[in-house]
Amino acid sequence: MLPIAGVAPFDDPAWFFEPWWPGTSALAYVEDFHVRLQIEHLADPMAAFPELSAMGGDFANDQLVVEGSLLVLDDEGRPDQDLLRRRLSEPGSRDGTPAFVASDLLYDLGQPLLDLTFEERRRRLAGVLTDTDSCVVSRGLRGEGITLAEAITSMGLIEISARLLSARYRPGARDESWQRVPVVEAPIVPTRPLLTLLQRLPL
Amino acid sequence: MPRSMWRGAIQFGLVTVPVKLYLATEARGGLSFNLLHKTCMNRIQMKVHCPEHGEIARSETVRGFEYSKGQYIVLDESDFDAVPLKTVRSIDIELFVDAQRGTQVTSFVKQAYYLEPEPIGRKAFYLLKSVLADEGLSAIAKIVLKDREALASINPYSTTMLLSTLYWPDEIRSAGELDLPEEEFDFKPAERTMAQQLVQAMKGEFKPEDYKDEYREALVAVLEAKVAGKPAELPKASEAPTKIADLMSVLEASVAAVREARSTGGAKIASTKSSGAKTATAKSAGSKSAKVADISSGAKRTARKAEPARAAKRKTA
Repeated sequence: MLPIAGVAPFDDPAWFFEPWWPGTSALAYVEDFHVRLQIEHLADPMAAFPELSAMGGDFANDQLVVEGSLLVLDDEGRPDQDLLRRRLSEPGSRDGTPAFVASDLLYDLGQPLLDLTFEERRRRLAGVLTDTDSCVVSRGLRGEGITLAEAITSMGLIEISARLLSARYRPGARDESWQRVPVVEAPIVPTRPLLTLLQRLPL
Repeated sequence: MPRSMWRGAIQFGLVTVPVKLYLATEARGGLSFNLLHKTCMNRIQMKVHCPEHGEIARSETVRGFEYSKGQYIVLDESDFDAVPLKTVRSIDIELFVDAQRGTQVTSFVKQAYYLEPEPIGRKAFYLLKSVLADEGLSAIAKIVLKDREALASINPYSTTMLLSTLYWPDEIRSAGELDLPEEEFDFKPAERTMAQQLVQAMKGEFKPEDYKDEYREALVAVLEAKVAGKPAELPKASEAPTKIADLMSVLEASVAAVREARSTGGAKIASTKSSGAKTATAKSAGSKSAKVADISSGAKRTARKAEPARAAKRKTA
Protein backbone atom coordinates (compact mmCIF):
# COMPACT_ATOMS: atom_id res chain seq x y z
CA MET A 1 0.00 0.00 0.00
CA LEU A 2 1.27 3.41 -0.92
CA PRO A 3 0.31 6.86 0.31
CA ILE A 4 -1.04 9.72 -1.74
CA ALA A 5 0.49 13.14 -1.35
CA GLY A 6 -1.35 15.21 1.23
CA VAL A 7 -1.61 18.96 1.21
CA ALA A 8 -1.38 20.20 4.78
CA PRO A 9 -1.74 18.82 8.31
CA PHE A 10 -5.30 18.57 9.56
CA ASP A 11 -7.26 17.50 12.61
CA ASP A 12 -9.77 14.68 12.26
CA PRO A 13 -10.67 12.12 14.94
CA ALA A 14 -11.06 9.45 12.25
CA TRP A 15 -7.35 9.65 11.38
CA PHE A 16 -4.14 8.59 13.02
CA PHE A 17 -1.04 10.72 12.60
CA GLU A 18 2.58 9.71 13.01
CA PRO A 19 5.86 11.21 11.86
CA TRP A 20 7.05 10.24 8.42
CA TRP A 21 10.36 8.87 9.56
CA PRO A 22 13.20 9.77 7.21
CA GLY A 23 14.21 6.29 6.22
CA THR A 24 13.02 3.78 3.70
CA SER A 25 9.74 1.89 3.78
CA ALA A 26 10.27 -1.75 4.53
CA LEU A 27 8.38 -4.94 5.11
CA ALA A 28 9.66 -7.29 7.79
CA TYR A 29 8.77 -10.97 7.42
CA VAL A 30 9.13 -12.92 10.64
CA GLU A 31 9.32 -16.68 10.28
CA ASP A 32 10.60 -19.01 12.98
CA PHE A 33 11.57 -15.79 14.75
CA HIS A 34 14.00 -14.98 11.95
CA VAL A 35 13.40 -11.76 10.16
CA ARG A 36 13.72 -11.01 6.49
CA LEU A 37 13.50 -7.44 5.29
CA GLN A 38 12.20 -6.20 1.98
CA ILE A 39 12.64 -2.69 0.74
CA GLU A 40 11.73 -1.09 -2.55
CA HIS A 41 14.54 -2.28 -4.75
CA LEU A 42 16.54 -4.78 -2.75
CA ALA A 43 15.09 -8.13 -2.07
CA ASP A 44 16.68 -8.33 1.36
CA PRO A 45 18.97 -5.60 2.60
CA MET A 46 19.64 -7.50 5.82
CA ALA A 47 23.30 -7.94 4.84
CA ALA A 48 23.68 -4.20 5.24
CA PHE A 49 21.97 -4.24 8.63
CA PRO A 50 23.38 -7.21 10.55
CA GLU A 51 22.42 -5.49 13.78
CA LEU A 52 18.77 -6.11 12.93
CA SER A 53 19.10 -9.82 12.30
CA ALA A 54 18.10 -10.63 15.87
CA MET A 55 14.99 -8.50 15.52
CA GLY A 56 12.75 -11.52 15.00
CA GLY A 57 13.09 -12.25 18.68
CA ASP A 58 11.53 -8.91 19.49
CA PHE A 59 8.14 -10.15 18.38
CA ALA A 60 5.81 -12.09 20.62
CA ASN A 61 4.24 -14.00 17.73
CA ASP A 62 5.65 -15.75 14.71
CA GLN A 63 4.60 -15.80 11.05
CA LEU A 64 4.27 -12.03 10.86
CA VAL A 65 4.47 -9.42 8.18
CA VAL A 66 5.18 -5.98 9.60
CA GLU A 67 5.27 -2.76 7.65
CA GLY A 68 7.50 0.02 8.85
CA SER A 69 10.45 2.28 8.21
CA LEU A 70 14.06 1.32 8.18
CA LEU A 71 16.23 4.07 9.65
CA VAL A 72 19.88 4.59 10.34
CA LEU A 73 20.55 6.76 13.38
CA ASP A 74 23.58 8.94 13.76
CA ASP A 75 25.61 9.31 16.94
CA GLU A 76 23.02 11.70 18.31
CA GLY A 77 20.24 9.20 17.84
CA ARG A 78 18.71 11.03 14.89
CA PRO A 79 17.67 9.39 11.65
CA ASP A 80 20.21 10.17 8.96
CA GLN A 81 19.36 9.59 5.31
CA ASP A 82 22.98 9.83 4.23
CA LEU A 83 24.02 7.06 6.58
CA LEU A 84 21.13 4.96 5.29
CA ARG A 85 22.17 5.53 1.69
CA ARG A 86 25.75 4.64 2.54
CA ARG A 87 24.66 1.42 4.19
CA LEU A 88 22.61 0.46 1.17
CA SER A 89 25.17 1.44 -1.45
CA GLU A 90 28.48 0.46 0.13
CA PRO A 91 28.67 -3.14 1.20
CA GLY A 92 30.51 -3.35 4.47
CA SER A 93 29.54 0.12 5.66
CA ARG A 94 28.73 -0.07 9.34
CA ASP A 95 28.19 3.61 10.05
CA GLY A 96 25.34 4.62 12.31
CA THR A 97 22.86 2.45 14.15
CA PRO A 98 20.06 0.84 12.17
CA ALA A 99 16.56 0.70 13.60
CA PHE A 100 13.15 -0.44 12.49
CA VAL A 101 10.05 1.59 13.33
CA ALA A 102 6.98 -0.59 12.89
CA SER A 103 3.75 1.06 11.82
CA ASP A 104 1.43 -1.65 10.53
CA LEU A 105 0.83 -5.38 10.99
CA LEU A 106 -0.29 -7.24 7.86
CA TYR A 107 -0.03 -10.90 8.89
CA ASP A 108 -0.17 -12.37 12.36
CA LEU A 109 0.43 -16.07 13.05
CA GLY A 110 0.29 -16.61 9.30
CA GLN A 111 -3.20 -15.13 9.03
CA PRO A 112 -3.78 -12.09 6.81
CA LEU A 113 -5.08 -9.03 8.63
CA LEU A 114 -5.59 -7.01 5.48
CA ASP A 115 -9.34 -6.85 5.88
CA LEU A 116 -9.13 -5.51 9.41
CA THR A 117 -9.20 -1.80 10.00
CA PHE A 118 -5.93 0.06 10.45
CA GLU A 119 -6.96 0.75 14.05
CA GLU A 120 -7.27 -2.95 14.76
CA ARG A 121 -4.08 -3.85 12.92
CA ARG A 122 -2.20 -1.24 14.90
CA ARG A 123 -3.67 -2.49 18.15
CA ARG A 124 -2.44 -5.97 17.31
CA LEU A 125 0.96 -4.62 16.30
CA ALA A 126 1.36 -3.07 19.74
CA GLY A 127 0.45 -6.47 21.15
CA VAL A 128 3.16 -8.40 19.33
CA LEU A 129 6.10 -5.99 19.49
CA THR A 130 7.98 -4.90 22.58
CA ASP A 131 10.22 -1.88 22.15
CA THR A 132 13.90 -2.71 22.06
CA ASP A 133 17.02 -0.79 21.24
CA SER A 134 16.57 -1.37 17.55
CA CYS A 135 12.89 -2.00 17.01
CA VAL A 136 9.92 0.04 18.20
CA VAL A 137 6.29 0.67 17.39
CA SER A 138 5.91 4.14 15.91
CA ARG A 139 4.29 6.74 18.12
CA GLY A 140 1.55 8.98 16.93
CA LEU A 141 -1.52 10.98 17.73
CA ARG A 142 -5.12 10.19 17.06
CA GLY A 143 -7.04 13.05 15.47
CA GLU A 144 -4.43 15.72 16.06
CA GLY A 145 -2.44 16.13 12.90
CA ILE A 146 -1.70 19.78 13.48
CA THR A 147 -0.30 19.19 16.95
CA LEU A 148 1.91 16.40 15.66
CA ALA A 149 3.06 18.52 12.75
CA GLU A 150 4.12 21.28 15.13
CA ALA A 151 5.87 18.80 17.39
CA ILE A 152 7.94 17.17 14.68
CA THR A 153 9.00 20.47 13.17
CA SER A 154 10.99 21.11 16.28
CA MET A 155 12.69 17.76 15.69
CA GLY A 156 13.75 18.71 12.19
CA LEU A 157 11.26 16.35 10.53
CA ILE A 158 9.24 17.60 7.61
CA GLU A 159 6.39 15.19 6.90
CA ILE A 160 3.71 13.32 8.74
CA SER A 161 1.86 10.20 7.81
CA ALA A 162 -1.94 10.37 8.11
CA ARG A 163 -3.89 7.12 8.09
CA LEU A 164 -7.62 6.57 8.16
CA LEU A 165 -8.31 4.42 11.22
CA SER A 166 -11.20 2.61 9.57
CA ALA A 167 -9.35 1.75 6.35
CA ARG A 168 -8.46 -1.75 5.16
CA TYR A 169 -5.04 -2.54 3.70
CA ARG A 170 -4.82 -2.54 -0.10
CA PRO A 171 -1.59 -4.22 -1.17
CA GLY A 172 0.36 -2.41 -3.83
CA ALA A 173 -2.21 0.30 -4.37
CA ARG A 174 -1.94 3.99 -3.80
CA ASP A 175 -4.83 4.70 -1.50
CA GLU A 176 -6.54 7.81 -0.24
CA SER A 177 -6.74 6.40 3.25
CA TRP A 178 -3.02 7.01 3.64
CA GLN A 179 -1.53 10.46 3.12
CA ARG A 180 2.02 11.67 3.22
CA VAL A 181 1.60 15.24 4.42
CA PRO A 182 4.27 17.96 4.33
CA VAL A 183 4.30 20.04 7.50
CA VAL A 184 6.21 23.07 6.30
CA GLU A 185 5.85 24.97 3.10
CA ALA A 186 9.54 25.52 2.55
CA PRO A 187 11.24 22.19 3.15
CA ILE A 188 13.75 22.37 5.95
CA VAL A 189 16.61 20.03 5.43
CA PRO A 190 17.55 18.60 8.82
CA THR A 191 21.16 19.64 8.67
CA ARG A 192 23.68 19.08 11.38
CA PRO A 193 23.40 22.42 13.22
CA LEU A 194 19.87 21.38 14.06
CA LEU A 195 21.21 18.61 16.25
CA THR A 196 22.06 21.19 18.83
CA LEU A 197 18.55 22.52 18.63
CA LEU A 198 17.12 19.07 19.04
CA GLN A 199 19.16 18.55 22.16
CA ARG A 200 17.64 21.68 23.61
CA LEU A 201 14.16 20.27 23.40
CA PRO A 202 12.38 20.14 26.75
CA LEU A 203 12.69 16.46 27.44
CA MET B 1 8.38 40.67 57.42
CA PRO B 2 11.69 41.04 59.22
CA ARG B 3 12.95 44.36 60.43
CA SER B 4 13.85 46.93 57.87
CA MET B 5 17.59 47.20 57.31
CA TRP B 6 17.65 50.81 56.22
CA ARG B 7 15.51 53.91 56.58
CA GLY B 8 15.82 56.99 54.42
CA ALA B 9 14.18 58.80 51.60
CA ILE B 10 13.99 58.65 47.84
CA GLN B 11 14.86 62.05 46.47
CA PHE B 12 14.46 63.44 43.01
CA GLY B 13 14.03 67.05 42.18
CA LEU B 14 12.17 68.59 45.04
CA VAL B 15 10.33 65.39 45.89
CA THR B 16 11.24 63.41 49.00
CA VAL B 17 9.64 60.04 49.66
CA PRO B 18 10.54 58.45 53.00
CA VAL B 19 11.02 54.69 52.61
CA LYS B 20 12.33 51.61 54.39
CA LEU B 21 14.44 48.93 52.76
CA TYR B 22 14.06 45.20 53.26
CA LEU B 23 16.23 42.47 51.85
CA ALA B 24 14.25 40.92 49.01
CA THR B 25 16.15 37.64 48.95
CA GLU B 26 17.71 35.25 51.36
CA ALA B 27 20.58 32.98 50.66
CA ARG B 28 19.58 29.40 51.21
CA GLY B 29 22.52 28.29 49.17
CA GLY B 30 24.38 25.23 50.27
CA LEU B 31 23.85 23.44 53.52
CA SER B 32 26.76 24.16 55.80
CA PHE B 33 28.95 21.46 57.18
CA ASN B 34 31.53 21.40 59.98
CA LEU B 35 34.95 19.89 59.73
CA LEU B 36 35.48 17.15 62.30
CA HIS B 37 38.53 15.17 63.30
CA LYS B 38 38.05 11.78 61.68
CA THR B 39 39.02 9.69 64.68
CA CYS B 40 37.43 11.49 67.64
CA MET B 41 34.69 13.43 65.87
CA ASN B 42 35.56 16.65 67.63
CA ARG B 43 35.11 19.88 65.74
CA ILE B 44 38.48 21.09 64.66
CA GLN B 45 39.50 24.59 65.67
CA MET B 46 40.83 27.21 63.36
CA LYS B 47 43.65 28.76 65.36
CA VAL B 48 45.39 31.97 64.39
CA HIS B 49 48.90 30.87 63.61
CA CYS B 50 52.04 32.89 63.04
CA PRO B 51 54.84 31.03 61.26
CA GLU B 52 57.38 32.60 63.63
CA HIS B 53 55.58 32.68 66.98
CA GLY B 54 53.15 29.84 66.64
CA GLU B 55 49.63 30.29 67.96
CA ILE B 56 48.68 33.88 68.80
CA ALA B 57 45.53 35.63 70.01
CA ARG B 58 43.26 37.29 67.45
CA SER B 59 43.70 40.57 69.37
CA GLU B 60 47.37 40.51 68.41
CA THR B 61 46.52 40.93 64.71
CA VAL B 62 46.40 44.15 62.67
CA ARG B 63 45.15 44.89 59.16
CA GLY B 64 47.81 45.32 56.53
CA PHE B 65 47.61 46.37 52.88
CA GLU B 66 50.10 44.77 50.53
CA TYR B 67 51.18 47.67 48.32
CA SER B 68 53.93 45.66 46.68
CA LYS B 69 55.15 42.09 47.00
CA GLY B 70 55.82 41.41 50.68
CA GLN B 71 55.53 45.11 51.59
CA TYR B 72 52.69 46.07 53.88
CA ILE B 73 51.42 49.25 55.42
CA VAL B 74 49.38 48.85 58.55
CA LEU B 75 46.08 50.63 59.04
CA ASP B 76 44.64 50.99 62.52
CA GLU B 77 41.16 52.10 63.53
CA SER B 78 42.09 55.79 63.50
CA ASP B 79 43.07 55.50 59.83
CA PHE B 80 39.71 53.99 58.96
CA ASP B 81 37.99 56.74 60.96
CA ALA B 82 39.80 59.33 58.87
CA VAL B 83 38.06 58.15 55.69
CA PRO B 84 35.14 60.53 55.04
CA LEU B 85 32.05 58.41 55.46
CA LYS B 86 28.81 59.16 53.77
CA THR B 87 26.01 59.03 56.24
CA VAL B 88 23.35 60.55 54.04
CA ARG B 89 20.11 58.74 54.40
CA SER B 90 18.86 59.23 50.93
CA ILE B 91 18.34 57.48 47.65
CA ASP B 92 19.30 60.10 45.11
CA ILE B 93 17.74 59.46 41.76
CA GLU B 94 20.20 60.61 39.12
CA LEU B 95 18.20 59.88 36.00
CA PHE B 96 15.55 57.70 34.44
CA VAL B 97 16.39 55.22 31.70
CA ASP B 98 14.45 52.94 29.42
CA ALA B 99 13.73 49.87 31.55
CA GLN B 100 14.03 47.40 28.67
CA ARG B 101 17.38 48.42 27.34
CA GLY B 102 18.73 50.64 30.06
CA THR B 103 22.45 50.82 30.47
CA GLN B 104 23.73 47.29 30.35
CA VAL B 105 25.17 47.83 33.81
CA THR B 106 21.69 47.20 35.21
CA SER B 107 22.13 43.52 34.35
CA PHE B 108 24.79 43.13 37.03
CA VAL B 109 22.76 43.10 40.20
CA LYS B 110 24.39 42.68 43.60
CA GLN B 111 21.39 42.57 45.88
CA ALA B 112 17.68 43.29 45.61
CA TYR B 113 15.72 45.18 48.27
CA TYR B 114 12.02 45.83 48.67
CA LEU B 115 11.06 49.42 49.23
CA GLU B 116 8.30 50.21 51.72
CA PRO B 117 7.01 53.79 51.81
CA GLU B 118 6.48 55.43 55.16
CA PRO B 119 2.79 56.32 55.57
CA ILE B 120 3.47 59.97 54.88
CA GLY B 121 5.12 59.22 51.55
CA ARG B 122 2.75 56.60 50.21
CA LYS B 123 1.00 58.72 47.64
CA ALA B 124 4.22 60.08 46.16
CA PHE B 125 5.72 56.57 46.21
CA TYR B 126 2.89 55.07 44.19
CA LEU B 127 2.81 58.06 41.88
CA LEU B 128 6.46 57.42 41.09
CA LYS B 129 5.80 53.72 40.65
CA SER B 130 2.89 54.36 38.34
CA VAL B 131 4.88 56.75 36.17
CA LEU B 132 7.81 54.32 35.93
CA ALA B 133 5.47 51.51 34.96
CA ASP B 134 3.54 53.54 32.42
CA GLU B 135 6.63 54.97 30.77
CA GLY B 136 8.61 51.75 30.95
CA LEU B 137 11.42 53.44 32.84
CA SER B 138 13.94 52.51 35.52
CA ALA B 139 15.36 55.00 37.96
CA ILE B 140 19.13 55.04 38.38
CA ALA B 141 20.09 56.17 41.87
CA LYS B 142 22.88 56.31 44.38
CA ILE B 143 22.39 55.05 47.90
CA VAL B 144 24.67 54.79 50.93
CA LEU B 145 24.40 51.36 52.49
CA LYS B 146 26.64 50.15 55.29
CA ASP B 147 28.80 53.26 54.95
CA ARG B 148 29.42 52.53 51.30
CA GLU B 149 28.00 54.32 48.34
CA ALA B 150 26.25 52.02 45.91
CA LEU B 151 24.79 52.37 42.44
CA ALA B 152 21.19 51.18 42.25
CA SER B 153 18.22 50.87 39.98
CA ILE B 154 14.60 51.24 41.08
CA ASN B 155 11.85 49.39 39.26
CA PRO B 156 8.15 48.77 39.87
CA TYR B 157 7.62 45.30 41.24
CA SER B 158 4.32 43.72 42.18
CA THR B 159 2.67 45.98 44.80
CA THR B 160 5.84 47.89 45.58
CA MET B 161 9.14 48.82 44.00
CA LEU B 162 12.41 47.01 43.94
CA LEU B 163 15.76 48.64 44.56
CA SER B 164 18.62 46.65 43.10
CA THR B 165 22.16 47.59 44.00
CA LEU B 166 24.45 47.27 41.01
CA TYR B 167 28.11 46.70 40.42
CA TRP B 168 30.07 49.81 39.59
CA PRO B 169 31.13 49.87 35.95
CA ASP B 170 34.80 49.40 36.90
CA GLU B 171 33.85 46.24 38.80
CA ILE B 172 32.46 44.65 35.66
CA ARG B 173 34.90 42.69 33.60
CA SER B 174 35.08 43.31 29.89
CA ALA B 175 33.72 40.61 27.63
CA GLY B 176 36.62 41.50 25.35
CA GLU B 177 38.80 39.10 27.32
CA LEU B 178 36.78 36.19 25.98
CA ASP B 179 37.64 34.18 22.92
CA LEU B 180 34.70 35.26 20.81
CA PRO B 181 34.48 34.99 17.04
CA GLU B 182 34.92 38.17 15.07
CA GLU B 183 33.08 37.11 11.95
CA GLU B 184 29.35 37.53 11.66
CA PHE B 185 27.37 34.39 11.00
CA ASP B 186 25.07 33.97 8.04
CA PHE B 187 22.00 31.97 8.96
CA LYS B 188 20.10 30.24 6.22
CA PRO B 189 16.41 31.14 6.20
CA ALA B 190 15.65 27.48 6.93
CA GLU B 191 17.90 27.48 9.98
CA ARG B 192 16.36 30.67 11.24
CA THR B 193 12.83 29.36 10.68
CA MET B 194 13.73 26.16 12.45
CA ALA B 195 15.16 27.99 15.44
CA GLN B 196 12.18 30.30 15.55
CA GLN B 197 9.82 27.35 15.53
CA LEU B 198 11.74 25.68 18.30
CA VAL B 199 11.71 28.85 20.36
CA GLN B 200 8.01 29.27 19.64
CA ALA B 201 7.31 25.72 20.74
CA MET B 202 9.14 26.32 24.01
CA LYS B 203 7.57 29.69 24.64
CA GLY B 204 5.64 29.91 27.85
CA GLU B 205 5.03 31.89 30.94
CA PHE B 206 7.86 31.88 33.44
CA LYS B 207 6.57 30.44 36.67
CA PRO B 208 9.41 30.64 39.16
CA GLU B 209 7.56 28.35 41.56
CA ASP B 210 8.03 25.53 39.04
CA TYR B 211 11.77 25.63 39.62
CA LYS B 212 13.62 24.50 42.65
CA ASP B 213 17.06 23.63 43.83
CA GLU B 214 16.98 19.90 43.22
CA TYR B 215 20.50 19.30 44.43
CA ARG B 216 19.68 20.86 47.78
CA GLU B 217 16.51 18.78 48.12
CA ALA B 218 18.35 15.58 47.29
CA LEU B 219 21.07 16.47 49.79
CA VAL B 220 18.49 17.16 52.50
CA ALA B 221 16.91 13.76 51.76
CA VAL B 222 20.28 12.08 52.16
CA LEU B 223 20.83 13.92 55.45
CA GLU B 224 17.40 13.08 56.79
CA ALA B 225 17.85 9.42 55.93
CA LYS B 226 21.22 9.39 57.66
CA VAL B 227 19.81 11.06 60.76
CA ALA B 228 17.04 8.46 60.80
CA GLY B 229 19.70 5.76 60.56
CA LYS B 230 18.62 4.50 57.19
CA PRO B 231 20.98 4.02 54.30
CA ALA B 232 20.38 6.88 51.94
CA GLU B 233 18.52 5.97 48.80
CA LEU B 234 20.55 7.32 46.02
CA PRO B 235 19.18 7.73 42.54
CA LYS B 236 20.07 4.78 40.37
CA ALA B 237 22.59 5.32 37.67
CA SER B 238 20.91 5.70 34.35
CA GLU B 239 21.24 2.98 31.76
CA ALA B 240 22.97 3.51 28.48
CA PRO B 241 20.55 5.25 26.17
CA THR B 242 18.55 3.06 23.86
CA LYS B 243 18.68 5.01 20.73
CA ILE B 244 15.50 4.45 18.79
CA ALA B 245 13.48 4.59 22.00
CA ASP B 246 15.14 7.94 22.68
CA LEU B 247 13.84 9.21 19.41
CA MET B 248 10.34 8.22 20.44
CA SER B 249 10.88 9.96 23.78
CA VAL B 250 11.93 13.10 21.96
CA LEU B 251 8.77 12.88 19.89
CA GLU B 252 6.60 12.43 22.96
CA ALA B 253 8.34 15.28 24.76
CA SER B 254 8.01 17.54 21.81
CA VAL B 255 4.29 16.76 21.49
CA ALA B 256 3.99 17.56 25.19
CA ALA B 257 5.84 20.82 24.62
CA VAL B 258 3.53 21.83 21.81
CA ARG B 259 0.52 21.05 23.94
CA GLU B 260 1.88 22.81 26.93
CA ALA B 261 2.59 25.83 24.76
CA ARG B 262 -1.04 25.85 23.85
CA SER B 263 -2.06 25.05 27.43
CA THR B 264 -4.82 22.79 26.26
CA GLY B 265 -5.58 19.10 26.42
CA GLY B 266 -3.62 18.65 29.62
CA ALA B 267 -5.64 15.64 30.70
CA LYS B 268 -4.92 13.73 27.56
CA ILE B 269 -1.18 13.72 27.74
CA ALA B 270 -0.82 11.88 30.99
CA SER B 271 0.76 8.92 29.28
CA THR B 272 3.16 11.10 27.35
CA LYS B 273 4.33 12.86 30.46
CA SER B 274 5.04 9.68 32.31
CA SER B 275 7.32 8.27 29.68
CA GLY B 276 8.63 11.09 27.60
CA ALA B 277 8.92 14.09 29.82
CA LYS B 278 12.18 13.06 31.39
CA THR B 279 15.47 13.34 29.61
CA ALA B 280 16.08 10.91 26.85
CA THR B 281 19.43 9.86 28.17
CA ALA B 282 18.47 9.26 31.77
CA LYS B 283 15.58 6.95 31.77
CA SER B 284 15.18 3.61 33.38
CA ALA B 285 14.08 0.41 31.78
CA GLY B 286 10.82 0.76 33.66
CA SER B 287 9.72 3.81 31.80
CA LYS B 288 10.19 2.04 28.53
CA SER B 289 7.64 -0.59 29.28
CA ALA B 290 5.16 2.07 30.36
CA LYS B 291 5.20 3.60 26.93
CA VAL B 292 2.16 3.34 24.76
CA ALA B 293 2.02 3.31 21.03
CA ASP B 294 -0.58 6.02 20.77
CA ILE B 295 0.66 9.12 22.45
CA SER B 296 -2.79 10.52 22.97
CA SER B 297 -5.16 7.64 23.44
CA GLY B 298 -3.30 5.97 26.24
CA ALA B 299 -4.37 2.69 24.67
CA LYS B 300 -3.15 -0.22 26.70
CA ARG B 301 -1.11 -2.81 24.99
CA THR B 302 -2.59 -6.24 24.98
CA ALA B 303 -0.96 -8.83 27.14
CA ARG B 304 2.05 -10.40 25.56
CA LYS B 305 2.37 -14.03 24.81
CA ALA B 306 6.12 -14.12 25.08
CA GLU B 307 7.44 -16.96 27.15
CA PRO B 308 10.35 -16.19 29.47
CA ALA B 309 12.95 -17.80 27.24
CA ARG B 310 12.11 -15.51 24.39
CA ALA B 311 11.92 -12.51 26.65
CA ALA B 312 15.50 -13.16 27.67
CA LYS B 313 16.53 -13.49 24.09
CA ARG B 314 14.95 -10.10 23.39
CA LYS B 315 17.18 -8.35 25.86
CA THR B 316 20.21 -9.37 23.88
CA ALA B 317 18.87 -7.93 20.66
